[in-house]
Order: sequence, then structure tokens, then C-alpha cells
Amino acid sequence: MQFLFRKVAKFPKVVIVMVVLLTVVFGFYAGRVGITTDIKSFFPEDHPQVISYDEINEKFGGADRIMVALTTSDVFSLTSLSTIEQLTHELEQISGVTNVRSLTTIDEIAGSEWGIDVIPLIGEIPTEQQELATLRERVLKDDMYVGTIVSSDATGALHVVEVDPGSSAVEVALSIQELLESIDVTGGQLYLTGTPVLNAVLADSMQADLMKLFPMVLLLVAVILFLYFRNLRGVILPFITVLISVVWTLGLMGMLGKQLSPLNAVMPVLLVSLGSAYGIYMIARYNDELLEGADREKAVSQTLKSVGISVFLAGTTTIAGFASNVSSSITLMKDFGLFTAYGVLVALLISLTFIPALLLLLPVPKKVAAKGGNGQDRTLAKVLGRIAHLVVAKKRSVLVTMAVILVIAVLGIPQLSTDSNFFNFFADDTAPKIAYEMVKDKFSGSESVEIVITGDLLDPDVLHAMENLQTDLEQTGLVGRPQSIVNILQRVNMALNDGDPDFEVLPTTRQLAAQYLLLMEMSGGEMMEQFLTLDYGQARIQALVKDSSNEATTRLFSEIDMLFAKYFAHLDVEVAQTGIVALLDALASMIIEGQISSLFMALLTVFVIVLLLLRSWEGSLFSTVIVSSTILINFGVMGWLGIPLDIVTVLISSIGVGVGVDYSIHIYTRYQEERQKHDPAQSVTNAIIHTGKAIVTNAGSVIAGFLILLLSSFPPFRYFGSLVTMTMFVASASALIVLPALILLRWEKKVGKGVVEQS
Amino acid sequence: MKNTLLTLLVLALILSPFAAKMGLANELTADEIIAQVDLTMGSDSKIMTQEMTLVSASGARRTREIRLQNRRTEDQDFMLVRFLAPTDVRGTGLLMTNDDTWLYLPALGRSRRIAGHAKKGDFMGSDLSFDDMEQLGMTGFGSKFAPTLLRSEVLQGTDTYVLELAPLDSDSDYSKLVMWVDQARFLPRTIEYVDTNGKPLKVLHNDGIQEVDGRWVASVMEMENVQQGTKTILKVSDVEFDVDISDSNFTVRSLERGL
Repeated sequence: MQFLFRKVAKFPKVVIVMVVLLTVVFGFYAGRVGITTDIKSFFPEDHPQVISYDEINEKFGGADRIMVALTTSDVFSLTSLSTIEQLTHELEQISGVTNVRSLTTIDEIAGSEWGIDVIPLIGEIPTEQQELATLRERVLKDDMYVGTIVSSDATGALHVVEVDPGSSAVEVALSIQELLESIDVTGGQLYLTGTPVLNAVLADSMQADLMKLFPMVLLLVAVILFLYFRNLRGVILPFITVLISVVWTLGLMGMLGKQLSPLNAVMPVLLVSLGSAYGIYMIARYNDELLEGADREKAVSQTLKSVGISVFLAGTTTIAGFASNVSSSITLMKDFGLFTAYGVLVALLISLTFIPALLLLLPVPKKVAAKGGNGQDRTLAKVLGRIAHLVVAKKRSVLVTMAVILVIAVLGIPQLSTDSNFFNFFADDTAPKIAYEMVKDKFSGSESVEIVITGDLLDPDVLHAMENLQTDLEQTGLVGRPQSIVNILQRVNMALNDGDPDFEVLPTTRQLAAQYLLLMEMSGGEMMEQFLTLDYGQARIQALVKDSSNEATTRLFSEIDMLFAKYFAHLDVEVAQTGIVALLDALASMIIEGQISSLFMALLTVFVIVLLLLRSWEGSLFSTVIVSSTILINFGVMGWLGIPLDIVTVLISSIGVGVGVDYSIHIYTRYQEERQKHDPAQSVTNAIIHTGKAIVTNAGSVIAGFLILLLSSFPPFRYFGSLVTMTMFVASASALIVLPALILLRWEKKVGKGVVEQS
Repeated sequence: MKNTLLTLLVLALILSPFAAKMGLANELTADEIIAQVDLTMGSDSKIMTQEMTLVSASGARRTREIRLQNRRTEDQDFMLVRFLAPTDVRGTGLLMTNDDTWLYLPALGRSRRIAGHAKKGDFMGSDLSFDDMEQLGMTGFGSKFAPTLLRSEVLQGTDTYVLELAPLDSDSDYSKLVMWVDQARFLPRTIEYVDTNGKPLKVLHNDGIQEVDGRWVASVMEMENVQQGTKTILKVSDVEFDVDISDSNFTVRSLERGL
């Protein structure tokens, strides 16, 4: 620290200029940072699920589907059908749309005594009531259409829009949104949903939310600073620190081409909350020194020497806590860890260089808040005193209470669920969620699972296996009716046998299958492209997933695995599952793994760092125990309250560890200091009373920043805000109450009971 | 008088190279070129065995071997396609007359009419439309397009005429065709098909030029749909022109008999 002070003192202007210049450079790049909501960005590029998802999209098309739903009183009325036809046509015109599947574009395989024809289901829209009624009856009887393109009660019709894999699905979604806004449907309503739509809306909403919350955090922090210091520089200097750290962090992200996502959107708020604490400590100590009569230079020097060290310590553990996220396989979580760690480092550096430099150049303030404080301070001192007394006198009760709380928390952990579905980011009354639920209700859902069969697809055994899988899968009730070439071949067989429903079965020989496929090619092969590759080497079974929550999809995948084993094990084929749901499922597993690995790393790193800093096994062990308990309580609360572990809440533990451990460090350091002069009980008491104020203030300012998140429109951000607040509270309270109790208990065990109680 | 005659003579001598260059002597018109092309490629009756490979945008391939019998009369256009390979579809037959299309599936043991848009779309799922096939093999281009000679050009070592063909049918899929015709053999080496938005849609390449039956034939034809990234490769292994094919070949009965 001395070294640092000397350098800063010698060249304060240089320091200031350098910081300003770097800020300008970073600021330029910060403007480039956008928002991404694409689930694929959470995965490393070579993740098998991403590869197979892309492969499916390329070979068959249609993995990114946008759905436009029309609800009316009767789909089979002239007006509704005309609307569908017109809408379909307009959707097809949008650039990036490869095709649109709706009642007016799908083909049916029609058979008659003389021939077979693959013709549009609805050629020209019938105008007569009788014709409309016949059409209605015909379509609603056919399970190839009901639940997939029209609802069973004929009040809903779906337009499935396929996006060209080379285009941006999000942009297409936005174009469609614009189109729908310009259309007026009398007697009906239009809904827009599908993963690309969600991504587009989410990105927009997140941006709006952040632009609302971030200024509020800044304002709140400014207010707190003012209340604490009651002068302008007390507000401005820490404020500048956090702004600079945010700019530098976003700037680095911009330089490296990184973007904000639902996972790291909270980062700016985080940096403001945490960074302000360092500035507060520095300025507070500077003021104290001035009050003691030091001149400007001495004040700054002393500040750096004393508080500088603890700020450095606090910063280092926080950095370690965040950096531990690199052990997660989730790319964005890794990035979050690194960039936040970087941001904290910047805040630290700025606090230790830029602020002292400014303080050295600025004139001594005229008004400094007097030490000894106001009424609030006295109350706080009284409370802390009571706490200290409680700890010394009733340490066992304290520890037992803590143990009980921990047990209750641990009991909640099995109830902890995981949720990787971004759709749940939207509150129930928002447009995307409403549309999503509606499509799930009237049709089978908007997300699909894709099963890929690779092998000799003309082999009747393979086709039968597919047929069996599809039948069994539908019976689980987890998906809508699965579709594949099996359905097409069945239809062709039926059509070639005069439309006799008894013949809606698979062809029995490979020659027949091959020839049916040839027939389909001649008659309108587009239907098949979606389900079979050109060389007949790969087929796709597509099924809409009714419940895309993680529990349901886990069940779905294990069902599918079972069916694979049952029907395909003896065949020479490869089977695989993919689709958005598979990605969500994989992400959910990654969230859990990431949580465990980053938590473990965080605790380990923190343990080592604290050990090095405090040079005490007891200190680092106890601090780690305290912090681990804090995290356990967090998980317990999440389990009991049904708050899922998702891409946002997974970050809580790294914050809890990195920041929470600081409180324990402060208490223990002070304890060590006091122990040079006093016995354990007195040392503990002094530590609580004197460090307590700083701890409460620090926790207070961190919490204040996170409380703002409660105003977010996204439930996950709100949960995040409240849980971090709770975690900080528990961490600071444990540091003040449980840690001292542990220390005293151990001391008692070491030397016998009577010795401790003296004082 | 002598002076005038002399001047004229000199002028003629000076100008004659230019005259020759400008084609006053034996230069062909666009119409004539197209007529020659049609003579080379078209035929009123033809039997051809070829291998057709479809290549998808992602690189997947499917190969079939077919025997085509084509016949044109004043009022009828017949086509009979017999699938020779792969074995699963061997014996399948497709019969196209003016009005109907019939498909015979050997595994089913009978034939079915496939109505609707069979003739309007792609020829058996390939990148060539029925019209394309007809123009390249039977009817030629002269009756469907108005040609303009743009220039001469050397294409891959061959002297070619570059022609622009404007469709006479307003309903055409194309806004124009650009054709590079081998000057010596009157066979198109490359044809570029431009869509109605003015963007290149398909490109045809003729290779493996051989002489068969006194005509120049491209034994390898490759049609690429540049917008979709798909490709069709046709390899002709046998072709006979102006064959005397009986009308009875083009009946449903013959179809089912497997001729």
C-alpha cells in the first residue's frame, strides 16, 4: 500500500488523465453491446445438442418455428377462411420465411377409385354453407389436422411459419409482429408465439427493464451516499467509481464482441451495488483522518494504509467468488463470472488509485460529518452491544438456533426445482405468455421434440418401429400426435386402396415403401422434405410438447429413451432426440452442474484466500462455514418457496460467497487485533461493536442496490433481488452473531469453561 | 468515270474487311442459331437411358436410372419413363400423355392415375421443370422464346454465341434465359435461367460432348438451382434419335406390361 500511495502521490494528475482516457476508450466499445436471448448462446459451440439441433434445421428445416394463431367463433366460416388465406399469403411474402403451413396451404393425400392425388386440402374457399359444413366435418374427423393446424373445437387455426436457417429468426419474428399489428381481424384475434418470437420480445423487454432499473439504482446509491456523508464529494467520488467500473466492463465486453443476456443483465446493477462500498470505506476513513487533524496528504496515506488493505481483501474475495463461475460449462455463466470479476477489480483499482489521486488534488472539504455520530449511530451501537452480550452469554443457544435453521433449510433443498425455460421469464399477464398458453391449450404446444432415425429407412422393420414409437409416445399424453413419413406412407396406402380406412397402414415391403415415396415425389414432394432426407438415410419424427417445464421434459426424454430401447435396440439404426426442448433440458442440467461446480470452486478459493490473508486455520475455516451456511439457507428458502434455480438465480451463490465472506473477514480480523490486548470474550465484544457499524453500512448499501431489482417486470430478476438481499442479511447477521459464538465455543473447548466468562 | 470506278474499287477493298467482320457475308442471326440448336437437340422421337442424381443443399444424394421414351406428333406429346435402378423401384413406370399421368407400381401390381399438378412442377423432384426438359429434349427453344444475339465469347476454350432468350409465354417462370452456344456444334454449353425478379435462378451446364447418330449430344447435363443450393446431374448412357416408336407403347397396358 505504501508503494501504491507513493506512486499515486507523485503523479496524481497522470493517474486521473489515464483513467479518463481509458474510460473514453471503453465507453466507445460499451455502446456496441447488445442483448441476446438465443438459447444456443448458452452452449459452447461444439456441444452435441447444439450440433444436432443445427443439423436438423439444415437437413429438414423448421426447427425455429413461429406460430400465428387465429381465434374466431368458427374457423370454417367464409370470413375466417378468407382471413386465413390472406394472412398466409402475407406471411409468405415476408423475407426470410421459407413457407407457411396453414389450413389453406396444406395438402392432403386424396384417393379415389381411379387414382391418387396430392392436392391442397382447401383449394378454393367454398362459399356455400353446405360446402363449408362438409369441409368442417371432413377436417375435424382427421387427426392429421386436428390439434396441429386447427383446434378440435374449430375455434382456433394455426399458421406455422418456417424460417430460413440462414436468416435471423428474431428479425422475421419482428417483421411478423409488425404485420399483425397492421391487420384488423373482425370477429377474431391474432396471437404470435414460438421461440423466435419469445427471443425477440424478451430482448426488447429486458432492455426496457434495464434502462428503467439502472438509473434507479444509481439514484438510490447517490441518495444513500448523501445521507451518509452529507457532502457533495462523498456522493460524487464513489459514484464516479461505480460508473467507471460499469463503463470499463461493458467496454471490454464490447471489444470482445460479447453481449448481455438474461443471465448477465443484472451485472450493471451488481457492479453499482458492490463498487459503491469500496468508495464509501475510503471516503469515510479519509474523513475520519481529517477530523483527527491530519493534513490532506497524511489523510490519504493513512486511508490507503488501513482501509486500503481491507478494501483490497474484500475486493479479492469478491473477485474470487465471481471468477469461480468459469468452472461452469454454461458459456454465458463463465463470461458473467469473468466480466463481473473484472468489473469488481476495476472498481477496486479505481478506489485505490483514482479516488486518492482526486482527494490529493481537491481542497480539504469544509464540512466533515463529526465522529461519534447522530442518533442513529447511538441506536446502532446499543443494538450491537446487546448482540455482543447475547453472544458471550448465550453462545450455545445461538449455535443451536443456527443449527435448527440450517436443518429446516436443508429440508427444503430436495424441493428445489430447476427451470431453464425462458418463457417463464414472462409474467402470466404479458402478451407472449398469454399467446404461449393459448397455443398450448388449443393445440398441442409450440415447442417440439425432434426424434431422428438414421439408417435404412425403407426397411419395413424400421418403419414399424417408428410407427410403434409414435403410437406409444402419443399415449403418454406428454406430446401431441407425432408426425413422420410413417403417417404419409399410411395415407398413401389408404388412398391407393380406394380410401378404405382399414388400409391406413404401413406398406409391408421395402419395394412398396420405395415406390410410394416415388409416387409422393411425383405428386408433390414438399411434404416429404420435412420428414425424410433425399437419400432416405435419415427420418425425423416431430411431436409438439405439451408441457415444456423441466420436470415434464425430463420425463419425456426418459420415456423416449425407453421406447428407443424397446423398439429399436435390435435394429441397425441410430436414434437421437433434439429440438428446442432438448436444448432446454440440456441447459437445465448444465445449470445444476454449473451451480455445484462454481459453488465448490468459490468455497475452496475463498477458503484458501482467507487462510493466506488471516494466517489462521480457525479464521478461514469458520468463515467458510458461515458462508456455506448462508448459501444453504438460500437454497432452502428457494426450495420452500418454490423459487426455481434458473439462469439468473444460479448466480446468487457466487455473490453470496464472494461478498458474504467479507463480513466474516472483518469480524475475525478485528478479533485478531483485539486479542493482542484482550481476552476472547472482550475481543469478540469489541469486534462486534466497532466493526459492526461498517458491516451494517456495507450490507445496507449492497442490499439497497439489489432491492431495486424488485421493481423489475421479470419474475426471475425479482427473485434474484430478494434472495440476494436475504443472503446478504443472513451473511452479515451470521458474521456478527454466529461467528463470534463459534469462536468463543472453540476457545472454551480449548481451555475449559470457567476461563472465558471472566471479564 | 474511271476515277469513280477506281475510287469505288479502293473503297471496296478498304471496307471489305469491315464488311466481312460485320457479317455481310455468312454471319448467322439469332433465329438461325436457335433453329440449329433445336435441330441438334430436339427430336420427334427419342429413346434415352440416363442416370439422374439429385443433390440436396446439405449434400445428400439420390441416384436413379431411367429409360425415357419420348414421342411427339402433331397433336400429342407422349412420354414413358421406366425406372431401372435402384432395385426397390425397378419396373416402376410413368406414362404421360397430353391430359393424364399414370404411375405403375410393380409392388402394387397396378397403375394409378396421378392427376393435378404433375406436369407443372419439377420433373421427378429434380431441378428441371417439365418445360425445361421439353425444351432441352423435344420441342426446342425456338417456339417458346424470342432470341437475341448479344455477342461472341470464348467459354472455357470454346467459341460460343451468347444469346438472350425472352419467353413468349407471359406466364413463364423466367424473365429471360442467357445461352452460350458452341459455335461449331450448335449445342448450348451453358444456359442461365433468370427468375421473374431478375435474379439468376438456375444454371445448366452441358459436358461430355459426343457424337451420336450424327448429332452432337451432351452426355452429362448438370442443372443447379443457385437460389436453393440444390443440383441435378443427368448422365446419358444411351440415346437413339428419330426412332420409330409405336403409339401402343404409350398406353396404360404397355405401362403395366413393363415395356
